[in-house]
Amino acid sequence: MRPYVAILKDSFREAMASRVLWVMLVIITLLLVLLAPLGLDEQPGTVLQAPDLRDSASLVRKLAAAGRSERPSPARQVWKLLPQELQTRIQEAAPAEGEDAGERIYDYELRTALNRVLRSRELYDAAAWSEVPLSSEVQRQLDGGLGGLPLAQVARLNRLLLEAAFPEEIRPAAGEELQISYLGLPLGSPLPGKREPIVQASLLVLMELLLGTVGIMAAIVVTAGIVPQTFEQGSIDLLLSKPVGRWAVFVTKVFGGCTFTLINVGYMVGGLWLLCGVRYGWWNHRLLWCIPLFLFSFAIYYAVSALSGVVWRHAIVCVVMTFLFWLACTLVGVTKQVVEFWFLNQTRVVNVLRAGEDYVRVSEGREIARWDSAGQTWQPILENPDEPAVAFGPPGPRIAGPLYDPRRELLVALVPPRFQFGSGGPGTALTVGKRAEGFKRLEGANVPSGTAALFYDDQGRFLAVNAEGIHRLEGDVLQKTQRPNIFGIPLPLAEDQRGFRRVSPPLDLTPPVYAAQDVRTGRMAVADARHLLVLSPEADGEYTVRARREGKDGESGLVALGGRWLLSASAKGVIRVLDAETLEPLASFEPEGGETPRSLAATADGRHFAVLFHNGRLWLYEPPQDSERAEGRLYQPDVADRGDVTAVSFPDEHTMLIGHGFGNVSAYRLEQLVRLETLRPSHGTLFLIYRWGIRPLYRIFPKPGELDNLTQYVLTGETTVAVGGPQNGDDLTAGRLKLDIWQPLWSNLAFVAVMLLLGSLYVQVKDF
Amino acid sequence: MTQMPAVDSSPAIEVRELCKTYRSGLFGRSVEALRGVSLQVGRGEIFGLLGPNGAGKTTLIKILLGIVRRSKGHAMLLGQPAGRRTSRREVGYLPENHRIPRHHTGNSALEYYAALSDMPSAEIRRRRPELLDLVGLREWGRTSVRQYSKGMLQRLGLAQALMHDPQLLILDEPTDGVDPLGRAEMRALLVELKARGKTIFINSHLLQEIELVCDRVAILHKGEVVAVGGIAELTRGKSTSVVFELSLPEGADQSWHAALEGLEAAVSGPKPGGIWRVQVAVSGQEDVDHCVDRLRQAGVSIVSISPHKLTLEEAFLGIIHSTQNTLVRA
Repeated sequence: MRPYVAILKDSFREAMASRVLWVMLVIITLLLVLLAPLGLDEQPGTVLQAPDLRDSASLVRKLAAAGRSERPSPARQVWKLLPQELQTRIQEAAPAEGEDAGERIYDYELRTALNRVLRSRELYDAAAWSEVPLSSEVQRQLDGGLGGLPLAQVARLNRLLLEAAFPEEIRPAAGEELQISYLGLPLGSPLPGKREPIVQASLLVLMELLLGTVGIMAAIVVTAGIVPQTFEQGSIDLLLSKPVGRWAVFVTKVFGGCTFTLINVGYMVGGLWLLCGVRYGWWNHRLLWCIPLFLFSFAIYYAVSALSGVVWRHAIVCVVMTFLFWLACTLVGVTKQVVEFWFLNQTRVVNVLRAGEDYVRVSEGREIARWDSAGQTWQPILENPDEPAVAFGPPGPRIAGPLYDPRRELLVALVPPRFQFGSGGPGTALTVGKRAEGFKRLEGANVPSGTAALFYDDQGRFLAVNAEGIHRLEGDVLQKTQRPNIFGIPLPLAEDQRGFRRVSPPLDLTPPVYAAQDVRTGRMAVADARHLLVLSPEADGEYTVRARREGKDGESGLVALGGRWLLSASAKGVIRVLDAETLEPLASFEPEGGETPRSLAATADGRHFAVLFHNGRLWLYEPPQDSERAEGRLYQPDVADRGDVTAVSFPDEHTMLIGHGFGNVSAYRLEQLVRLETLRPSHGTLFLIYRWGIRPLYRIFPKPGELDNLTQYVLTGETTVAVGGPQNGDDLTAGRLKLDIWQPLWSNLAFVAVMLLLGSLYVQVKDF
Repeated sequence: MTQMPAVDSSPAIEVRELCKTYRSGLFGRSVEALRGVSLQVGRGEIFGLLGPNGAGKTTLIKILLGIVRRSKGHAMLLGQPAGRRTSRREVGYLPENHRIPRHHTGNSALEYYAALSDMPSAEIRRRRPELLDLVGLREWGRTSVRQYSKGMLQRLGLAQALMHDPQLLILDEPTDGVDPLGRAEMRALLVELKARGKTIFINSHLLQEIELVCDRVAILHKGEVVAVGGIAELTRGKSTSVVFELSLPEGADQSWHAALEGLEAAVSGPKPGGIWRVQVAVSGQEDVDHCVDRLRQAGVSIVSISPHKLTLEEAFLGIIHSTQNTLVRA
């Protein structure tokens, strides 16, 4: 062993003697020193985000009225701080009685202006707020005067003042925000969100860029000469004259060559870990796992460099070969990702239901289609000629529904426009299709803004659930609404609810909101990340809150309701079983670790629940039918494409439908889980190229680039990431990209082993 | 009864019918580097390997050390098959144009190569100053090898070869780049090592060096051993000659040359003092007596008679030329 330890030790000595190493260490030190004064202060939310505007139209009206009045009021105070141009437009948008309405105000304009107002020390005026009830905390701060308060506190106080003054228009700030500062000086406005995920994301970008790309490439250039120098004449014969094994010398030398990278990566990651801990109190030990990960990432490239080194014994050849290897891997990896993400994933089923005798599915590409058994394909229905489903592209906002009304043979869905100007916008028209007309798209009534789920009650009336509460359609679902639009894109103007009326108390939830219905009793469960409520319909048709449960942020999420049970799934993958009457917790499971759940479903009798995770794994839960098995039974059913399930639903108490693979749907009888039928659409040329060309090639190729997934997993513990922008990040049902974590690791390990084996064989038989 | 430890009487190096064919290029062009080489080096002997460039000397050494695989034949090192790890443990090797990595100092290089020879750290620390002193680099142990001259690197190479106190020392061009003083020191060192019972196998172009220190030599030419034996044996040659130093009487003319007619003789002179030097090929004492008689009859005084001895270089060149002529005739 001693000779090989000597080779490793010599590699350390060689690395330490390298001037490039010291230059790199100085650069990393400078970077850490530059990062040290960066302040990341978490504070209660102040900035008005899109969901915070509860009723922008009302706010505009109040501001316009205040603009015409001299009476001191909070609205008048806000008005005075608005820019002249906006004041004019507000007056035009909400004219006095008898005048014509002019151009209307976009939500984001209003928010931008109000966010400036929030940072003003001039907002508060005792006379203006004299009639507004203020909390003792606000009053105490106001008594102390605004003069000496830091800007962040002023903004927070102003936000509380606005919330108190406009309770119908502005929601209380949810969560925290992050103020970034440097050397104590704030940099711009606070960012929405908590410190930890923002720091995680920043670290990920920083490390992947500096270590994963620049660092590794630099290390490859610097270390390219180590193996060729070892195996050149005069050096190798001296080495091989010693009592050492040839292949062991090669392998040890390759490991030794990683020393340079180990020192750099160790120093940088260790420094960042220390910085995060000391500076921000965030001691994330998972961060240290990045050291072996980046080292392994380098070792993949270095294995190629080392093999080239023994064969050609020239440093430049090593660099060129490594670069060509990187190019080939990137090409194969990117081709697969592009084809999957932009094309094939669009065909994945995200929702499936029975519409009478028909199977209907919604795809990731937001296409609603019914199964054409003759053509063995999905035939699009409810198509919007103004916004056709696209065969490629990133996922758009999710479709609520569709729901099938068997009495009127109607299919109803909420299809939000693909491109929205922020969330919390106005209501969107329902998309309706009649069976008799082949489910041709008809525009229906507008739903309330932020509608998250659609149901119908026992009388066939449609219900829409949003953060405000449960709304019922009083008129006909086909009541058409004329709405202004530009190039087919509906304008996000002020609230425009027609026909829907709130039939529950105001719930004051924070989007995203999830809802479930017990079709037997009409009972509804509504939840956001913190709250969980059960509401029951009364004789007068109004819903009342029967039970309410408030937990920590993120504790609540998806819900399913069936029989006596309620299932709640948090973003962290904790599945809680609760009593549907009292919301008393009965059991909890975490079958997929920290994996994010995608959807929950329940049979009407409450005998079967399904939990689908974004990683494609499906779990079934059978609640206890007797007191002995208090926790019930949770298991992974043996279904088609296990691990690649994309949708689940229970059309009745005996059947389960799952979407799986690329556009496939299978129906199962729940008893004994017997497969009834599978719908497999015929695929196009691209799929065949993918299946027989790209995918096999990807399988056999090493995947150094995909190790980023593992890094991301190590840092966040998540195996999927949100796609479609940050607004989708919190929505558990929104499309998430499954991170291919372990396959690249094994594939890369196998590749390194093969490279070392080839190099060892070559060294073993070669005459030096 | 106490059992005495067995003394290994096997030769330090034993090679029989050793062949090596290199194949290169796309079409596997073959080059025969060794063609049935056989030789034996006894323990405690200083053995020189001579031969022109491309004779196969380095190939032979590399086969002995397992750096190159043999194609055919048999090679043993210290009683074990050549190339085996255990046999290499007892060998110190100084390659031609060796390269010591530039990040080393003299001290760290010795530590590195000694550790490769599986020496414990404590032993390394003990031996290192001794060896640096022995090769004249005592003051240079902490200096980076980047600052070493070629001669110093050669000395350091020799030190690394000696660090683990090997039984057999294989030196490929050990005095390459070393100044005359250094060469003399190295010769003295080799003699001292021999006295300690070490076997030394030297490959060198410097025939004088070989002649001065080697007990036996082998001459390798075009992959074959064309001569092997002791220095005296090789320098004696097949035909001998005698050198006469002659003094001519006052006023003597060139007529004395007639006395040399019919003899294979080379005349040079006169040297200062009027001494002529005549080298005559003879086949025995009879020829010497005959020459003396003829010179005396011509009135020439014979100052001295001595047998002529070949230098190793002359012997080497003679052997190589005669081998080439034989090959041409064949």
